[in-house]
Amino acid sequence: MTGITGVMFAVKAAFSILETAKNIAAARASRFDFDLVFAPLPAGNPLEVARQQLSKSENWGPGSQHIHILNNFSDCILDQGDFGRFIDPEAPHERQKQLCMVLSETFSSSVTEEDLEEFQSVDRLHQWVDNDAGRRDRAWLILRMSGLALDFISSHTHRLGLRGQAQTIVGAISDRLAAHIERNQSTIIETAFTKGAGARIAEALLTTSLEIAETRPELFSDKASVQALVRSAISPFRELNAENVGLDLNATQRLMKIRQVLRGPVATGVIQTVYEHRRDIFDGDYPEKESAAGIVTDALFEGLVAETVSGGLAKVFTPGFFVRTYPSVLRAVSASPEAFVRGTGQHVALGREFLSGLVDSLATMESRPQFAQAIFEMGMEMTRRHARIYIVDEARSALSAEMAERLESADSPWALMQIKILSHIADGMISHFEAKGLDPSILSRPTEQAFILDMVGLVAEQVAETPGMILGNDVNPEVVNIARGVAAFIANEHASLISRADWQRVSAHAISLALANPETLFSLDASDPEDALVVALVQRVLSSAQANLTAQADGATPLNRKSGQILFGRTLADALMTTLDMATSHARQLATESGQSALTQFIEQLNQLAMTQGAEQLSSQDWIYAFRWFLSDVISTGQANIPSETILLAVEAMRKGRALESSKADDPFAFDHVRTPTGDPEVYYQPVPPQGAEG
Amino acid sequence: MTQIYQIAIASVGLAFLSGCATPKTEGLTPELAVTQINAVKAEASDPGSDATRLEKLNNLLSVAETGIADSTADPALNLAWTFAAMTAAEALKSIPGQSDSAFAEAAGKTLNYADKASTSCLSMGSSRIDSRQGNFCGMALAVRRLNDSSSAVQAFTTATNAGDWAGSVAASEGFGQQVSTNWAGYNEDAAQLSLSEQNQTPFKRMALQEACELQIAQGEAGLLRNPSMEDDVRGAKDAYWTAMASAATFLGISSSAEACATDADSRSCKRETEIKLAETCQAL
Repeated sequence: MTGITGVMFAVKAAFSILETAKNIAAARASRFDFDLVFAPLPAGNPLEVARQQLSKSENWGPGSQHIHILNNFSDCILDQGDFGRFIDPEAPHERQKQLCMVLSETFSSSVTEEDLEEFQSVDRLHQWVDNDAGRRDRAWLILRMSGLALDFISSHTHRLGLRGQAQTIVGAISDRLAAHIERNQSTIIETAFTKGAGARIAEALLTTSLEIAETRPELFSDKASVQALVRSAISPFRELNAENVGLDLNATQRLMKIRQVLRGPVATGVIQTVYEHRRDIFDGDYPEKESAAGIVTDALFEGLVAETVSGGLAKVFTPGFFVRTYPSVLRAVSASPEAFVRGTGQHVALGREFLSGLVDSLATMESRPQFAQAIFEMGMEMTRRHARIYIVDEARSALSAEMAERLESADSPWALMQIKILSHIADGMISHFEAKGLDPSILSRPTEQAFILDMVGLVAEQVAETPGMILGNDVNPEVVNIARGVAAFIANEHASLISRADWQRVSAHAISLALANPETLFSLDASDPEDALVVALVQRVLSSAQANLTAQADGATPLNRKSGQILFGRTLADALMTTLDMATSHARQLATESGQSALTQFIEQLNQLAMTQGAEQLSSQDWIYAFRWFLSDVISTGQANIPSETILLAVEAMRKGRALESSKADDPFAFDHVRTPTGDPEVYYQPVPPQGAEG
Repeated sequence: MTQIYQIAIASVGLAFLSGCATPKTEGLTPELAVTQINAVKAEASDPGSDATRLEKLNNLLSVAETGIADSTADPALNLAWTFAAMTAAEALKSIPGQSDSAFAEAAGKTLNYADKASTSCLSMGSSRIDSRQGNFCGMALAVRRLNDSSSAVQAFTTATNAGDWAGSVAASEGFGQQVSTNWAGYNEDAAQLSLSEQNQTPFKRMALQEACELQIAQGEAGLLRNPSMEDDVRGAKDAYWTAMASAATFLGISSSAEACATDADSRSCKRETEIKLAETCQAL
């Protein structure tokens, strides 16, 4: 008994200790403040962001630099005075999207195309519940459900006769919906006008629509091939819908799931079906089975199906990649099947190999998927245009025996090599932009991407036409160096002094000169592209131009410059091209500090003269003439101090010469301001030699 | 053998007593319960996990309700459990995928516990409220004072989505009225309880969130993007702008807002104020 009492005492003591410990823990926990977690606000509706940007008066007040946006998009902006401006809901969605993107870029909001598409889609889902206004949108969604299939053959839309069928489809939905309402009458009455009623109606519509699309594809087309396509696209959606009925997902969640399906089962199903029905779907456009193009295309197609099913291409391409780009492959294949065949052109089952090679060729673009598709399309287009001539004719006759041999023994087909070349050029340029510390978000802007791709195309086109620049398996390292050099000078902090069109002109000229004189202008020894002679000269000229603008007026830019400040825009572009010309013939002098100093001093002298004389005495044309005329002597002698009177006399003489030229009936535009300055202009006087240069 | 017998009895007895002694709150304090509620609320939402989150929050709400029942003798602990129950009910409201009746029940409980906690706080008075109680009194009062604004936003959403312009105007006016009565009332409560600036922060954040919810509801319904020039649509736009201008004035978002918060002020002034408020919401 004593033992039991002892145990009970021990138990009580233990319990007391436990309680005390618990209290201490609670007291410790109580030292923390209470807090509420706020649910995150939904992402901003891009159409609302656009409405705010369009309605905010400070964006469009007097002196605004953005008024052109209102003018350019007047077709899709509704201006309701005090009620503000907003995007016209009736405007084409593509225009709405363009306007949103322009506003986002101009006013630095974070709206992306993907956000916008999502909200436009959600808007459409909401409109579903409105029976009359939503007819068009319901039809749109049906068509969207088989989006990949229909997009894939978007260039063949006329064969589907979709416009005429849309009303039939909507009619069919209405019938089915009526049946659905009949079946579920009591539930509908019970839940009508409660939270989520809209979503339930949309769900009923969605279910009905999917059912229609899968069970009655003849409503889309009477062609068996298209019916198969619609059925294969819709089937995964029906499965998805069946899984999710009753989960009460909101529209955004539903769209996210739809996207996942689009990336996987739908893509696979559509591509397999297109392959199976390829000859029907492409009709006369599909190459003859017995032809080289037919064999290659079949092989390619088969490889595409295999790679899609295994998911091997997913890491580089976006979901819509095949849909949008496959036609371009077919065009390229039809134009030059040899470009897709390895080496001497045996017809091998290369489809899968080609696509695996494609991933390798685009490997440098893996971290830049926004460029991958454009590079691929550009590669296909260049293949279409150049490959046959290049491979069949030039490679075997005009080129050296060594080059022909290289091409014969190449590991990759030409089309792959073309993409690889473009990838390397693009990578060289983009890497340099990144190395310069540019904001990475810049590369996500469509306008910047387009500019970079233009420059890539510029380099690639010239490379394709220059023998010796393409090796057996890749591009000559000199080309990548040139591309990086071009990137270096367009990434210059003062690059905005010249328009993009002029930069393309300057770059094309630099590339053309560089391909003829690669070692001179873009030395392979330079570890940093900034060290290349061309880049150094361009930077010197740009810095002088900027100094001229800012030295004369605080904070001056090409927009608020003073009279006589003319070295910007096209004049500056011409000055750059003249300097590059000079670099090919005076590379040794211009590579020295004294040569470059003489160059900049002379530019400063001309700028000073333009400021003091005004436009009447020294126009931008005069400036360029004087620059071309005296630059050779300035660089040769290293002396820039040419007397102003000498320059003005030369200018006067050149003006007379121009007047004479313009009076010639057969040559009214003797001086073309944008002419590539490959040679000195014709003049009708003897130049006055610079003082001290006589010898 | 006797020793083994004694140890066995002791173990059974200890286990029995421990079981009896374990509070029904499963060892949680109100503070730890709130920490767990916040953690569940912050978890990512998807259809699969939402069901689990609902279950966890319902459990925590039950624990808090037990805590309230068990602590009637201790007003401070009772207040803390009431606050925990309010937080759990409020968190339940934010989980998607629940039935309408479950949502309504959660909303009702949120208001009920906020009322209860607020009444306790106000009856205790500033002299008896310590800084920690000030912390959750500030939040309970905020939930109570903003509940009707939340209802006004819901009414606005329903009416505007349905094109019921008269309903939309009424809801906007209701929201504006809340700003001038209940929002202003919070300031009076805070003064009565001498709440610190820090303890008033949740109210300011929640009030801004309500205004943002109204703005988002407007955006989703597309009221301001409605091209109709009919009088009733224009009236709905005007009423919405007036409500937003009032909120912006209260929140001090626009220094000029005060000048355009009344009906007589210009439409463009209210429009600019609403845009400023929307930009603040986007930065949240």
